[in-house]
Order: sequence, then structure tokens, then C-alpha cells
Amino acid sequence: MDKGGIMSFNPQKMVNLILSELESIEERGQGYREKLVDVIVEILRAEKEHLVQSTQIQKQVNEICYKAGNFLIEKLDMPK
Amino acid sequence: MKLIRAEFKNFRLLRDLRLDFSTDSEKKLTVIRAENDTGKTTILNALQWTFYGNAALPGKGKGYRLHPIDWDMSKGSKIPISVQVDFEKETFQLSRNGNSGETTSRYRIIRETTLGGTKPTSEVKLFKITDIGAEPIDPPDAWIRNELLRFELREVFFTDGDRALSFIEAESLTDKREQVEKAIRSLLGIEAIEAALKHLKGTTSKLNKDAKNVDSDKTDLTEVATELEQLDKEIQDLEKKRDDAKLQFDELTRKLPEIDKDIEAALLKGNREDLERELKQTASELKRIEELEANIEKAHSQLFRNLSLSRDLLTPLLAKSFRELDALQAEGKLPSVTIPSLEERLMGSTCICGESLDEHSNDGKRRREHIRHLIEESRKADELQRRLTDLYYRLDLKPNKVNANEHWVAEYAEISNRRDGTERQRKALEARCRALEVKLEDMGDIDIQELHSHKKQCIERQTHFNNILRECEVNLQVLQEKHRSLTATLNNLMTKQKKGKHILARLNVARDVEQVLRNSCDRITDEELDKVSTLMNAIFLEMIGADPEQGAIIQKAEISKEFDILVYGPNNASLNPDKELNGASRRALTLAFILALTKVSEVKAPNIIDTPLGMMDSYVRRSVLKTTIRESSQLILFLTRAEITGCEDILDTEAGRVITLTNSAHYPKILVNKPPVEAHQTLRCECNHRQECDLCKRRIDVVAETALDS
Repeated sequence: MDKGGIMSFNPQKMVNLILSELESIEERGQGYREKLVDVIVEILRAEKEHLVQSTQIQKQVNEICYKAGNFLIEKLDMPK
Repeated sequence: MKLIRAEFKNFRLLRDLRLDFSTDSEKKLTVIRAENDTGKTTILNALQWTFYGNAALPGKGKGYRLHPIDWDMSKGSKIPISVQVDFEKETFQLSRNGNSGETTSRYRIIRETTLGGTKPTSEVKLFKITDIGAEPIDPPDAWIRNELLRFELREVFFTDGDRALSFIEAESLTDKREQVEKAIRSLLGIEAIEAALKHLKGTTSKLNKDAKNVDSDKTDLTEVATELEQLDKEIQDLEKKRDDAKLQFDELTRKLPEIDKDIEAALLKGNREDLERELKQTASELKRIEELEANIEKAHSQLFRNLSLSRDLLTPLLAKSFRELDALQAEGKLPSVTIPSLEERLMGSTCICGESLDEHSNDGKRRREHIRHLIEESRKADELQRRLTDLYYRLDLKPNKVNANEHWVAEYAEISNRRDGTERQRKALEARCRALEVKLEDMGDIDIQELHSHKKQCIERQTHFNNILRECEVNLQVLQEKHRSLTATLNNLMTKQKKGKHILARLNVARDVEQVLRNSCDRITDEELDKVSTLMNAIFLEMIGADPEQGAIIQKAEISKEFDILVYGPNNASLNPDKELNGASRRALTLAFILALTKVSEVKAPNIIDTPLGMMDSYVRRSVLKTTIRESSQLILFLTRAEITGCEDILDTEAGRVITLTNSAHYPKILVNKPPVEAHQTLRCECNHRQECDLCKRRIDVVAETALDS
């Protein structure tokens, strides 16, 4: 996936920062933390677009979180 | 991002110009040597126009002429204007397992407009250059803003030596702070994270509302969710109240030292009331002295009526007169005794000659008549003699008859001394009055009492907001603890219901993302801002050659948490960068800030700087040049010959490309040879910083050479 335009801050640096902060998050289901990387990148991309051109940002953030929530439910329902 | 080349058509002076930039990471410097009025700023504007359109032009393009000023309308009433820029950009790739990598792609952006045509606005096209051709990117504007550089950051990367000083030279402190804050927040990505945090809060609130409606029987779950929703609102309100109070507290904390400085400065100038009182007293004393002086003057003038002074002044003349009188006296002409003698004779009956003066005899009568006639004649004719006689008898005029106590010299000395003394006093008082008046004028309307009262009010308000701040923080702690407890209860209750489980999962995602972003934001704000501040300080001190250990006047520069760029002198005394730094240091500080921010954010973008070395002496110029080259990922400098002087050896080793631009309109006044074009335009030659050719040879160089030869 192309995360080139996360923001002006060097994307590699930002990702490293986010990844290091993710370590303190509980792994609620298999692949949950990895999923959160996607969620964060998507949210920040949406925010950046919103800064340039007004979008329905609140709706977008809600949907990103809902989708990730569904992913988590799937993982939690999976037999361990 | 790196610029590869730019081509300009009919953009003001740039009728037909191509610039190639060095993309060599070892020799990352491109020097565009150009004198004033050759199109340096026009190139900078044209490049920004290409990426951002009219909004990036001076005055947002309003009244900004795009076409060449001497456009020949016989060529057609339409003027095609375009700028094409080729650049490369690294794309960051991230895989799910956290591995990442970068690939570099090439792009071409073309902005064009036709003046006099049907399209009044400019049009931009963007292509990704691949092995199989040019792949259009649509919409280009959004891509540029999202993938390249935000519009607000253009002054960080497209730097006009003068305009960029707005980071430290803006009208007000608030403006400066806003400029710096905007650049830092934007380049470090803080604003996007903060916006995300705000929207994640919205998501959480929405989910809490959803949780309230999960259970139609209004059981515990509904109650807890309702309470939690209420709590969320309370926390939000309290956070806003805390943030507002903090803002006010910080502003007042920043303001108080400024008021102290104003008071200190005002005290140095003096208290207005004291000064006014002193002026009044001095003026009154001056009046008294002027009156005294008038009296002494009067006494001085009266001195000239003094007999002894008159005598001394007339001594040379009088001596001669005395001699004459003595001679007259010796001759028996003085004193004049004719009339008294004759009158005495008339009183008797015998004349001095022995003849009878009997009035009863004819002879006696005749003689008496004669004597009366003589008396009358003497009276008529001898006024002069009378005066001389008078003078003769006033012998006390003679010097040897003067009383020593009456000598005028002593009196004159006393008056002169008094007069000199009062004159000195008057002059001193006049000078004091003038000085006090100037001081009062300088003070303007500064009122120390008012400043003290303002300070007192500020301290009271600061304490007030500090109390609010503390109160909010304590209350927030309590509410957050309650929130945690309620959240745990809600989570527990929701796991028992299917719908609740979904909401809980979404809530967990929103909360986890919020936590990650909040921690990241805190780290960026604290750690990265510190890094920018530290690096800016190091670069700045290196640029101006200031060594704090050696007692340099400028000891330190830093960026405060409030985004103020601060400079400190000895004993940590704060220096106003706007007013207390010289032109070279202000430019160096601006460049240091830009370079530090770019370096810390690790954003790879070109620094294109117009005339950065103006107003700098040789040491600072070399130092700024070396540091700027070291800290940039790609550096494009527009330099005049004067800026290059003394830095040639640095350019020899560091410049990957040097080109020279010449304005054809400078012939014949400045250019030696006639350029091969008739129109006014910027022309390019391949001369480096040490060379010149028929095109760029300048008359001022010829004069210098002639002078040297002779």
C-alpha cells in the first residue's frame, strides 16, 4: 500500500513513531494492531484531504472505525 | 522531492528560459548567478505559480502582470504563458508487517494560461513519467497539496530572502507566532493529528449514544451509557475551559516580562510626573536667575555713570586738557577774573588806573559806561573761558584727588563676577530644561503608574486563570477516573449483548487509535519541537560565528512551547530578534529556522532561496553558505556577484551546477556586448561563478579591469 502522502512530516518517521506507540496497545484479536496501522493511515489521509478540500470528515472517520470494529468482531468470534 | 528542470515561456522577463538543477546528492547545490532586475524573484514566483496557481503570486495575483512588459502585440493579441517543471519524488511504501521502502518516480507539471484568450484562469496538468510514457494525474491540484507540499509551507521551501523574515519580523508578536506555529505544525504534521483526535472524539461520542439505545428495556446498560455520554460532555467542556484558561495564562505569562521591560525602560527614561515636576522647578529657577541677571545688567550699566570710571576712561584726553588749563592759568588767562574785577571797580569811585569814577562828573560817568560795556562784552564773548575756568577750579577731577574707595575697578570686578556666575547658571538651567523637555517628548504617553497598574492587573488575571487551570485539572482527574470506571462497567455490560459487542469493538478501535495518536502528537510536540529548537540554535550560532563560551553577544536561540523564536544574550537577557539583531543575523536566524525545521521533519524538498547572503560580511556569508548547503537535501540559490565574492572556493567544491542569467535590457548601460535578441528578456549562459562570456560580460567589470590595468 502506498502511504506516500500521509502528511508533510516524513512518512517513514511518522510510521515509526506510530508503530512504536502501537506497541502499548492491547492486541485484542489476531492482526488487530496491524489493522490499526491501516486505520491510522486512512484517518490521517482523510484528514489531510479535508485540510486541502472540505470533505465529510466526521462521517469518514466513523466509517473507518466501524469497519475496523467489524474486523475485530470477526477476529474475536473466530475460534482460538 | 527534487527539482530536475524548469522551462518558462513568456512569464514576464522569462520569455524562453530553461533551467536545469543539480540532482546529485553529493553536489546538491545549484547556483543561479544573476544581478538585480534579472528575473530571480520572477523565477521564484513562476515556480510557485506552477505548483499553487495565482494564490501563490504577490497579492494573490491581483494586479500581477504575467506577460512580458514589452510584448509585441503585432505577434498576436493572445499571449501564451506557461511554466513546465520536471521533478522526482520518493514514494513511501509500507507493508502490513511494518516493513517499508521508498521508490522514486518522475513527474512533470505544466501550468499555462493564455492572456487575451478565452480562458482567463490558468490550467495545470500533471503527469507521472513512466517507461511507457506520461500518465496523467487527476485532479492535479489535490495531488500537489496532498502528496507534495502544503500551500502554507511554500515560504519554507521557496524562500525570498526578505519575505521569509516574516518568521521573525512580522508586525506583531501574534503574527510572528502564528507564522512559526503554522510552519512547525504543518511540517511536523501536528495539525492533521489534532484534527484526527477531534474527529475520533466525535466517533466515540456517537458510539456512546448508540450504546444508550442498545437496550430497549432501559436497564443498567442504558443508564451507564447515558451517564457516560453526560460525562463525555462534561469532560469536553472542562477540557475546553482548561485549554482556554491555559491559553490566557500562557499569554499573560509571556506578557508580564514584556511589561517589566517596559517599566524598566520607562524608569530609565524617568517618571513622567517627576520629570514634569523637575521641569517646572528648573523653569522657575531659570526665571529667577534671568531676573537676577537683569538686575546685574542694570547695575553694570549704572557703573558707567560712576565718576571714577568716566575719569579713568577719559584720562588720556583729560591729561591733555589739564595741561592746557595749567598753561592758561600760567598765562594769567585763567581764572577769568575780568568781570568780577570790573564789577568791583564800579562799586568804588576810583578805577584801577587811578582815574575818578565819580558818577557825578562827566568823565567819571563816561568811564563807568565804558566799564559796564566791557563787562557786557566779556559776558557775551567769554563763555568758553568761563567753562575753562570752571574746569580749572574743579581740580578734584585730577587723578591724585580720587578717593581709593571709590575706584570703579573693584565694583566692575564684582559685577562681572556676578554676571558671569548668573550666566553660567542660566545656561546650565536652560540646558537642563531642554534635556527634560526632550526626555518628556521621548517618553510619549508612557505612564509608569499606569504600567504598574497594568502589571498588577495582569498578575491578578494570571492568578485567576491559574486557579481556573488548577481547578479544571483536579476536576478532570476526578471525572476521568469516573469515566474509566463507567467505561469498564459499560464494556462489561455490552459484552453480554450482540449489538453491544459491535459497539464495544468500534469503541475500542476509536479509543486505541486516539491513544496512539495522542501519544504520537505529544511526542512530536515535545521531542520534535525540542529538536527543531536545538538544531536551529546550533545552525544559527555556527552561521554567525557566535561562541557562547567565548562570551559572544548572542548566546542562544530557541523556539518556545508557544512557538516564539527567542534569542538570548549574556546573563540570559532576552533580545528582540526583530529589533536587536542586525540584518545579517536576522537572515541567518530565519535560514537556521527553515533549515532546522526541514531537517527535523525529514521532509525531502528543495530549498530555493533568493538572495540569501545579502547584508552579510565575508565570514557570515561563507558560514551561512556552508551551513545551508550541509543542511539541505537540494539547494537552489539565486546569488548576485556581490554575494558570491569571497565564496568562490566553496562553490568550486559544492556546486553541482552553476549558470548565469543576464537581462538583455541591461545593454548598453551595463552589458558590454549587444545581446542577440531585441526584446527584453532573461538570457542564460553556462558561465560559472568564475567565468564570463560575450553575453554576460558587464560594463562595471570592464571599469574595474581598466582600473586594475592602469
